[in-house]
Amino acid sequence: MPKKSSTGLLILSLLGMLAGAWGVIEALIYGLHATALGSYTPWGLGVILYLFFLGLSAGGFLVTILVYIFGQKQYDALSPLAAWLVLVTEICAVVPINLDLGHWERTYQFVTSPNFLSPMTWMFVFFGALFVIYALKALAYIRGKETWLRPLSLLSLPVGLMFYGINGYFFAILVGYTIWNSPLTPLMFIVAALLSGGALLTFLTWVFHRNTDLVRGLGRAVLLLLFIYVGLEALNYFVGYRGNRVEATKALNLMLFGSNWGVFWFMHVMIGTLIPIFLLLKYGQDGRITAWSCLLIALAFMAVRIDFVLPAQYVGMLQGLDKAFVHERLQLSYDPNLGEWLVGVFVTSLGLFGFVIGPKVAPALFAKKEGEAHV
Amino acid sequence: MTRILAQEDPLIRMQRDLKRALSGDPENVRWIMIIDRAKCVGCNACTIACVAENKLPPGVVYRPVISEEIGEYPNVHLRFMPRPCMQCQNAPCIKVCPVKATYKDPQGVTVVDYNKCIGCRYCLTACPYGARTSDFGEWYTAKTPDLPGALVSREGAAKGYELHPAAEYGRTWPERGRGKSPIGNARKCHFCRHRLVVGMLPACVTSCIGRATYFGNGRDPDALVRELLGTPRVTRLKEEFNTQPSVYYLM
Repeated sequence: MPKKSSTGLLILSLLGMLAGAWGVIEALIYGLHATALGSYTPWGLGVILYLFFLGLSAGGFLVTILVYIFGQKQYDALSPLAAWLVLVTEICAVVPINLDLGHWERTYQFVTSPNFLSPMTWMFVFFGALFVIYALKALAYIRGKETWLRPLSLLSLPVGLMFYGINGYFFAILVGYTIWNSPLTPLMFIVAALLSGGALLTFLTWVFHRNTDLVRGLGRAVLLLLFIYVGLEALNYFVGYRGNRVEATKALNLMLFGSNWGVFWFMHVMIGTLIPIFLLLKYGQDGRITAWSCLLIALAFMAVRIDFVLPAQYVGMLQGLDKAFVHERLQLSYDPNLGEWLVGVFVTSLGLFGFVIGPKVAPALFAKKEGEAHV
Repeated sequence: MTRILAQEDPLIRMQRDLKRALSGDPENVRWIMIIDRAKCVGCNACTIACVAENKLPPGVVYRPVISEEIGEYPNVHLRFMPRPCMQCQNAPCIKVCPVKATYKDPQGVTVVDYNKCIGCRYCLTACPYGARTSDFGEWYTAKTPDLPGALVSREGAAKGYELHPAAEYGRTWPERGRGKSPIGNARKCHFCRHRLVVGMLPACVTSCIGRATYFGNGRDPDALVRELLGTPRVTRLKEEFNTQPSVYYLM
C-alpha cells in the first residue's frame, strides 16, 4: 500500500475510533438503555454488525477450502493475510455483540455455566476456537513454524464449517420467525460468509499483493458464490411467498417494499449484486476492477445482514400484541440511535486500523512469497 | 320472579385448592392457568395488578391483554386475550439460554435467575408468544422535575414506588439502579411464585373482575382447574410448536 494512502487511512481510522468511542463508552455505562431496541425488536445494529464482521472473517475459511479441498496450492500464498483478516474481523465482531448484552460484565458465565443445548453456547465455543486457530496460524507464520500450518489449516475446516453454519442454525431454530425458521438458513449463512469474506480477501489481495492472477481467480470464486447466494435467496423468497404464510409474506413485503426498501433494492440488489456481477463478467480479467467490485460486494453485504435481522422482527409473535400495552420499548419497529451508529463507526474504524497497521506490526503476514506472480 | 341460586365464588374454591396443593407433596404440584375468553371483558385489571405486584418499570409487561375486533359494522364484537407466560413444559426459552439463567422450578414454572442472566435476549426471540420483555432500565419518574429535598421531587416520587424492591422469586432485590439486575435482564411472568408460597393466588387471578382467570394444581383431580380442563372449549396457543403450554384458554 502506498505510504501516503496508508497514512491517510491511519488518520481516518483513528478519527473514526475517536468519534465512535462515544458510542462505546455510552453502551458500557448505560447498557441497553442507551440503545433504541425494544422487547419486540430485541436485536438491532449490534447483531447486524456482528453478523457482518463474522461473515467477513470467512475469507480465511475460503482460502483453506481452495488450498486443502480444491488443491489450488497457489492460494496458500494468501494464508498469512487471511489469518490476519480473521483476527481483525473477529475482534470487530466481538465488540458490538458484547456491547449488545444487557450485562456484558457477565460474559464469563459462558464458561462457568454453559448450556450446551443452546446454539449461542456453541457459537461462543466455535468463535473462540476459530480465533485461537488463526492466532496460532498467524504466530506460526511470524515465528516460521511451518509444521504447525497444515494441522491448523485442516482443523480450521470443520471448525469453520461448524461456526458459520451454527450462526445460521442460531436463527433457524427460532420458530416464531417464519423467514428465519428454515433449514436453508444455516446453508445460506455458510455461503454468505464465504461470499462476503472472499470478496474482502480479494480486495485485500489486490491491496497487499498486487497479484492479478490470484485476484482474478478469487474474483471468479466470489462470482460463483454470489450466483449461488442469489439463487438461494431467490428460492427463499419464492418459497416464502408461495407458501403464503401470513408472517412470511408480511416480513418479505416489509423487506422488499417497506420503509427500508432502499436497503434491499439499492444497497443489496444494485450495489452489492448487479453492479459487481456486471463488472466481474465484463472486466473479470482486470485485477483492479475485480478487486473494487469485490469490495462493493463485501461492504454492501451489510444490507443483507440488515434485511435478515430486522424485517423478520417487525412481524409480531401475536397479532395485536404491540397494541396491547403501549410503550416505545414495545414496538414492532427499530431505528438505531446515534450511539448505536457510533459503535458501528468505532468497529469499522477498528477494522480499517487493523489492516493499516497490520503490515507494520506483523510484516511476515503481509509479505509476498518468493516466486509469487505479480502484476 | 327470578331467583339467583347461591353459587360459590371461584376465588374461594381456588383458594381452597391452593391450600390443599401447598399442604401436599410439592412434587405432585404442577401449576396451570385457565383463561376463559368468553368471560374476559378486557378491563386490563390483571395487567395493572401484575405491574403493581411486580413493580414493573415502563416497557416491561408480563400480562398484556390483546384486543381483537371481529366483524363489520353493525355486527362488530370485541374479543380479548390476556397473555401471561405460557410456562411451557417444553420451553424454547430454556433451551436457548446460553448460561442456564432460565429454568423450570419443580412446580413447572419457568423462572429467571436475574443474577445470572447476561441479557442476550435470545429467550425473547425464542418465545413464540412474545411473553418475555427486557428491562431496558426505564423509569416512570425519568422526566419528573428534580427538586432535591422537595417532597414531590424525582427522588421522592421514585421512592414512593419505583425504588421499592420487587418481591419477585421470593427475594428482596436490591434497590433499582443502573447496572443492577433486573435492569438489563429478560423478565417474564412467573405465576407470582412469591405469592403462591405464602398461600396467595397470583395477582392477575385475584384482580380479575369477571372471574375469567382460573389457577390451580393441574395434578389435583379435585381442583377447579381440572374440572375446567374437561370442557370441550379448552385450547392452547400455537400447539403446533410442541411447547406444551401450562396456560389454557376456554374459547
